[in-house]
Amino acid sequence: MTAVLELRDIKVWFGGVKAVDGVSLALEPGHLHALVGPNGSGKTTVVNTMSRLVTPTAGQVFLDGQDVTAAGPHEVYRRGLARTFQGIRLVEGLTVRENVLLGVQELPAARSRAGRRRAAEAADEALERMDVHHLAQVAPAALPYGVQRRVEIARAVAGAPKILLLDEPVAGMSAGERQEISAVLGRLRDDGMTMLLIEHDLRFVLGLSDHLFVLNFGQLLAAGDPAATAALPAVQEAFLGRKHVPA
Amino acid sequence: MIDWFSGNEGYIQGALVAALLAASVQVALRAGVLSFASVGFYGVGAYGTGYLTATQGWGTAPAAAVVVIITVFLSWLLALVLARLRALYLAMATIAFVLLVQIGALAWDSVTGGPLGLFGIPPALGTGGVAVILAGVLAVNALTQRGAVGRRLLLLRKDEALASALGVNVRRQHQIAFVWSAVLGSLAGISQASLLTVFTPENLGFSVMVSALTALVVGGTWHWSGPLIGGVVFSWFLSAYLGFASDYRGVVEGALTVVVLVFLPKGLAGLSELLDPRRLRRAAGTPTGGPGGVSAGVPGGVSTGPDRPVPAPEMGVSS
Amino acid sequence: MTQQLVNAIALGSIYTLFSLGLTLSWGILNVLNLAHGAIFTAGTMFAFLLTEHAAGLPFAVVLAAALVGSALLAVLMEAVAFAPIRARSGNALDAEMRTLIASVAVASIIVTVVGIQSDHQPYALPQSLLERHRYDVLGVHVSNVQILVLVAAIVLSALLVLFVRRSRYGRAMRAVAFDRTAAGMVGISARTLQLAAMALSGALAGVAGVLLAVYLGAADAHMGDSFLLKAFAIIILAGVGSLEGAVFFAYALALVETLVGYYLGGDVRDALAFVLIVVILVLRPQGLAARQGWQRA
Ligand SMILES: Nc1ncnc2c1ncn2[C@@H]1O[C@H](COP(=O)(O)OP(=O)(O)O)[C@@H](O)[C@H]1O
Ligand SMILES: [Mg+2]
Repeated sequence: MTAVLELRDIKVWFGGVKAVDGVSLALEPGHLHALVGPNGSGKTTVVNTMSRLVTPTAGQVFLDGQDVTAAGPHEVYRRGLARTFQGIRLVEGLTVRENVLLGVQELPAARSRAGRRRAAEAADEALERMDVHHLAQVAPAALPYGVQRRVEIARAVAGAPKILLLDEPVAGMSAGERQEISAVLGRLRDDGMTMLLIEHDLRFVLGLSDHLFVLNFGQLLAAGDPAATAALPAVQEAFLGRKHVPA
Repeated sequence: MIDWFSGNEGYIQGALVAALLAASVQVALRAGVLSFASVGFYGVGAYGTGYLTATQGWGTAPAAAVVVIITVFLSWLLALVLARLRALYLAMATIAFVLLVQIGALAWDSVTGGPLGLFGIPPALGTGGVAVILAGVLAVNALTQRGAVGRRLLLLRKDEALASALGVNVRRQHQIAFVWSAVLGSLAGISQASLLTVFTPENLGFSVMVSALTALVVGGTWHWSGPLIGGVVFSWFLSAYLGFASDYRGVVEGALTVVVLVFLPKGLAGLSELLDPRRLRRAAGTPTGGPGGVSAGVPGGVSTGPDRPVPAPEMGVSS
Repeated sequence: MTQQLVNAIALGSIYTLFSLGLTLSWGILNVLNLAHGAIFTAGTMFAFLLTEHAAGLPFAVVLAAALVGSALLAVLMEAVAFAPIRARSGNALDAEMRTLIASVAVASIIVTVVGIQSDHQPYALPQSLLERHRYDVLGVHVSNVQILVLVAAIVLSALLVLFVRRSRYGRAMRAVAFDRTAAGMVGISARTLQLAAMALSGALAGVAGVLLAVYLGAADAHMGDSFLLKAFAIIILAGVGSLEGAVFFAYALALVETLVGYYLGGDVRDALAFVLIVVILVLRPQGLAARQGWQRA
């Protein structure tokens, strides 16, 4: 089985800072992968490298078996790699629906008149799937954080990507909002979406993911079955330092 | 009516050219390109037309066509050269280009006539011709402010990284905006040369940039009608009715620009919105001001389509 | 030729003072202040008006008054235009664009007022303000004005570098240039810091203007324009915000311009700064456009 997305020995150095230092990993179709690590461990840089916003110092990125290391971010998006950002990035001055339309309008399929109509339908469908269709004409800035996040996810999935990267989608959220997003991700997985979920809180991903990567100081500390990997002493230490493991 | 027109024709012409020039800067800015190069291409357009018609004896139409083609070519090259410059660096490089064009106009005697400039340019376009060009340009700008293109432009100038992550080829879009901006600048130059029949280095440079920016900012930087409103207010009303074409113009222009920048970020074009009841409700319902704040100073808030944002229904913010 | 070099050193000193002010405002406030040349010109006008209305004042007093006047003008511009615009801008690009346009507008106001004040004619500071002396040093003419300009540039840039390196304000300024939210860490509000940077920037421009007017013997409303472009070239060569680099490249540019003017003529000399700007920007964009948009990701 070929990986949807693969990193081979990726290094990203910012001057003297080795943000990512030799990471290799593969994302399997239909799985929900989680990438966890403490703050500053290089998670966002990994996502930025995958989505081609950051050019690695060394190493290669493969999307669907093809080397996309030299491709631009717009090219990998058009080839089915969608992402969300750590902070909310909705465009002010556009409604919720217009924001979601941004996710489909640049795709090659939306060039023709018929394509544009189908793209608009796909956007409306995504609004419905994320349960924000009743807010279509609303200015997003007025919405609660958790709802804004769902609008962002709607925008990312509207173009039916092959793979979805989510950079800390629940950071800073209330327990209720986390629950909502967690349900949304579960539904996407049931639909067969390949995902990479970035999180700094190990516990949040444990019940949710099929496969766990643990990043520390820019290197993969461990990878594998979530529960088993999380139980490794090295992982426990990276997350909790010398503190006791809570029950 | 006819008397009135002939009495004001000079001012009307000034307004039309100012509007074209302001529009040329606008189309770069609205795509997130901080470039003033179109003011340099204004010189290219004026001298190119002047040289081909007055010196080489061409007709105005073929001369204008060739000048526009040259503009596209040159601006595309310049866009490639400046491709990796962003924000203030790009602004500075393009200001250098504007001033370089002026130096070139002074030095390249055989084509530009040096300090004396070119004269005897045929007045083929006339006020009507320039008005038609402006109407065409504004129509294109109005159409591209709506729909998918309008959304893309807003996205580009608000968040480039997000734009690229949503499939927008940012560099290509910037190049297109740069070239389109240059073409509009060139059209303004072609119009000015044809209307004045004379063109000298004094018609170029920093002061032209100031006038274009003033007209744009006062009229409304983000709405297609802004350049027209600004051009009319500045080159027409102020000159014709206040009669200070002379000494204090620089002070009034500068002061008005600052006042509008601070208090009326959307320019006069944004005033209509203040009268829109739906907007009023929205402004009342959302916090304003502050960096990254919600509605007050955010550009591009002038609605781009039929489905403009309305206030969110009350929702309990869970926390 | 040696005589030319002496002139180059005086010119480089003026470039230094002018560029230091501009690189401060760019580095700290992230504003491309196109009114810097106009404030420079305003400095000469302050000095001129003072000598008109209060003849016989010592040069040091006139220079100090011009310094304070220019600093206040810059602070006024920051308080009335730049700060409110920054506060109401949607994002960085929006703020940069609108402060840039505001600076163009302020420049237009200042230059127009100076033009009206001077009847659009060049104006001269009185000869009595600073008696000229010429010395022969190893066969080269050196005037006291040239020495003054050089000493002023060295002393002021040394003070500025010390201030930015050593003082609490200076550290906060560097922190802010690196990260816009960092000022608070040093216990100084960003607001105070921005005003201080603009005051310093204006003061340097005013001093540079008066020294140039004394050196050339005359000033006019548009004298700042050409300096703006030279300063751009210097700042780009040095890297935005680098004070030591600005000093070095100010003298280097003056020297190269003098040599080019001597061997290739005035036209080429005048175009040099423009060409430098474009060439450097194109050849080393990655080194210059250091702050990337992706950092926010
Ligand atoms: N553009 C950049 N320039 C310099 N350093 C960076 C940049 N982006 C990230 N870093 C550094 O790389 C390291 C990893 O950052 P990041 O990938 O954001 O971590 P995480 O998302 O896990 O918190 C941090 O030390 C950060 O400061
Ligand atoms: Mg992160």
